[in-house]
Amino acid sequence: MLFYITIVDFGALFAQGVHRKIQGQIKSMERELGKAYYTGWSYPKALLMDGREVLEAEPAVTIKDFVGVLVEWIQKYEVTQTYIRYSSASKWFIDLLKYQNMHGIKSVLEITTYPYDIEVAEGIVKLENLIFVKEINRYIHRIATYSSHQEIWEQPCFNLMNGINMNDHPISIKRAEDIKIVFIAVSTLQYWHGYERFLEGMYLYYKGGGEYDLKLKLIGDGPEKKYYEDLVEKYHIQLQVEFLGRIEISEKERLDQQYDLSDMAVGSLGFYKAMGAEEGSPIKGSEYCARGLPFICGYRDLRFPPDWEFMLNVPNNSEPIDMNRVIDFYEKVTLKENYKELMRKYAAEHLTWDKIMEPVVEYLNLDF
Amino acid sequence: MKNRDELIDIYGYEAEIFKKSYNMMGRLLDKNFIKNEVEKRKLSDMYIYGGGFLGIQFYRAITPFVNVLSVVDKSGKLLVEMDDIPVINISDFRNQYEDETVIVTPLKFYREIYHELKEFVLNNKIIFLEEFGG
Repeated sequence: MLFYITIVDFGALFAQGVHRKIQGQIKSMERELGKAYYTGWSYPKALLMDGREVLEAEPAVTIKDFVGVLVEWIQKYEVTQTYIRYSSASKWFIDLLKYQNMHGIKSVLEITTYPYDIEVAEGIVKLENLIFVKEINRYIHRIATYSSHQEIWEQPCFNLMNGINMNDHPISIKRAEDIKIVFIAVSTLQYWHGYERFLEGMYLYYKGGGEYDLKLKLIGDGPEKKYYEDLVEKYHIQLQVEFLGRIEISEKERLDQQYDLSDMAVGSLGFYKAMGAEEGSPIKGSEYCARGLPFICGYRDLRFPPDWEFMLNVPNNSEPIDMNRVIDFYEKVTLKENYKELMRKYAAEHLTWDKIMEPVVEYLNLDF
Repeated sequence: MKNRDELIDIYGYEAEIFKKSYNMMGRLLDKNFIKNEVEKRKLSDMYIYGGGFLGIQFYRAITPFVNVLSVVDKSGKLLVEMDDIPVINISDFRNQYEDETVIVTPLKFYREIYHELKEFVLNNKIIFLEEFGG
């Protein structure tokens, strides 16, 4: 039996859409390793889940309580492997790792964001982190990370990327039209999405006499929405930009419809604002690829070969996007009649959770 | 002398409990917070488990909105003597309990109390005070 351990509140996981990612990882591990359950906190209760079904619920007000409950469940369900999504180090987190180590439980620790910013933590949490993070490598011998680090805390890494489930992302049926491109951007409208670069690019394109009919569908809600709305007004591009708001997971058909009306997608253009990040693998790039939508992004996406023909990399800075370059790119891509199918094939071969989790599964499957 | 880990185990844990209890004490001063929770959870006749500071404060905060049948405490008394607050011990509670909601207040003993109550109180009738506001 394998446990996928998270020690954070489920509310936060659901809000960030992380839940789907965890489900994808669990399913891929279950295929090779047998049944897997996952844990989390629905404060003030610790929960053990099988999919959406709650198997166990126990009160747990503190991290000490949570780890105590977890160890009881590990014993009860005779757990032999764990995959831990790391949140922070504490004395009790180390107790959990020690317990695993003593009982021969094989474990991989996933560090979602590395290097992480210790300054974000406050007070006692920060102090605990500083003290106990140094002890992790005594009990954990493999780390999974989304960065390209080969080693973290002196332990070898599995370099993961955000994966997808192909069935959730059907291929787009839209075919290219003459001198018209509909762009779609699905996000939580955060500062690192940097869509102001795209809006300014549209403005400059039309100011320069551009003839293409360019449309942008912004799907999602978030802190930058007002800023983008103001820019659209300032640039007088209201007819070009449509704000569709948040589309819930339960409204999948509505989202599929919007993808079926789009020719190209827009990924994050503001990575440079997030601690100067240059590379990453945000989930949206995989989804756009599975749907067969060529896309533009401002970071080095680790899932695709450099200069991949269906992805337009723009400089990672604050400059407006050169829409003439985007149009040239699109025209070149659409010369290939089966470009959507080629993109989808690439997604199936490289971007599914089964493929991405393969080395982790192999490691957990090996005997000591 | 206890070692570093033993000291952290004691004081780190207590700090977390005290911090959460203190925050809840503060929230109980907000009448709207209590009123909204009572309406949201459709609370009517109920018991409060725990005769400590938090249990007493909670009794004071919630009685304008619902009928509290009694405070329940293992010892059968409150931490601070209060003539106007009814209090019973666990065996009397077990005898008179009739499917009402029980709000559990002592954070430190949630698990212990939960397992004790589960023997005769339905799961959906046990609410932890920390669930308020969630």
